[in-house]
Amino acid sequence: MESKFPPLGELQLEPDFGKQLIGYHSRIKLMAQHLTNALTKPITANYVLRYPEPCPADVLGNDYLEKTVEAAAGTTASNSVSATFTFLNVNTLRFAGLAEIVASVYLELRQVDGTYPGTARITTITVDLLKYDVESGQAASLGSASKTVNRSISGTASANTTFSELFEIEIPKSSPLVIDENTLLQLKVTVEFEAVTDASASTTTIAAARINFARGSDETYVRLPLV
Amino acid sequence: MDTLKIFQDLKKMLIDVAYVENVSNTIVLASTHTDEEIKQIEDYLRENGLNYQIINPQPIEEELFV
Repeated sequence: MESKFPPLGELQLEPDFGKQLIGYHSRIKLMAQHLTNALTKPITANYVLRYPEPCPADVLGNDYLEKTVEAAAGTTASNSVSATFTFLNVNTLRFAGLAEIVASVYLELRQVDGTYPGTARITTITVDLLKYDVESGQAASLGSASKTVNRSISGTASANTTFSELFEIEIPKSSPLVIDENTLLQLKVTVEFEAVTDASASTTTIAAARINFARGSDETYVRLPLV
Repeated sequence: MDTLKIFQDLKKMLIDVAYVENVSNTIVLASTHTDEEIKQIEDYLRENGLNYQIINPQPIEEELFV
């Protein structure tokens, strides 16, 4: 009688503990984290991608990366905050298919005039998947996704908000991404933001934006299909 | 519609707004407003096809602390 199960060779009998078995395919979820003491091999990096869940955390690590911008009266000023997270795993892994990326961001109207309204706004969020060549020290793009989100806070009082955005990047099945000790996977998250101050305001507007990657959390992550 | 425009429109209606944000689509008022004023805001939102929740701070009931 013919077996209803596929041949043993087609089964992934030993999924790595970081993989989630889905049919014949596995996915690996890599969480963005900050390390106080940089890992030094194969490259030096404080911002890393880690697995499995719950993500091992560095108790002294940072929970976010923040930048601010201040706009003079009657002007709009912009800035960006960007972080590149590197997966320092040196085992050989192959990825192909749809990569799911989630970026958690924070926006704050930190300082504003009490009479004339100011605005803090996140304009765009961009994520890049990169292939970093250890020998050459060069990173090549595997794909990029960008969204004009235009999420804002306007008013005469300080306020803040947090939200997550989903991105998807296709890694062609015809040319899977192979990472090993010489080729590292990187996730770059860039948040463009701005502050607006009213022309009559005597106090300038200060906007702050963060990329969130709280210790031990999956606030910002990339989930990749293994092949 | 931009949050700054909403803020300015409400101010013109003499609504005391603290801030407007369009992540959770919230309008936070700086002081307590009457039901009539809240309805005025709701009418404005409806006319402009906006879907925001209004946070109206409630007055402190001082008698509770007597």
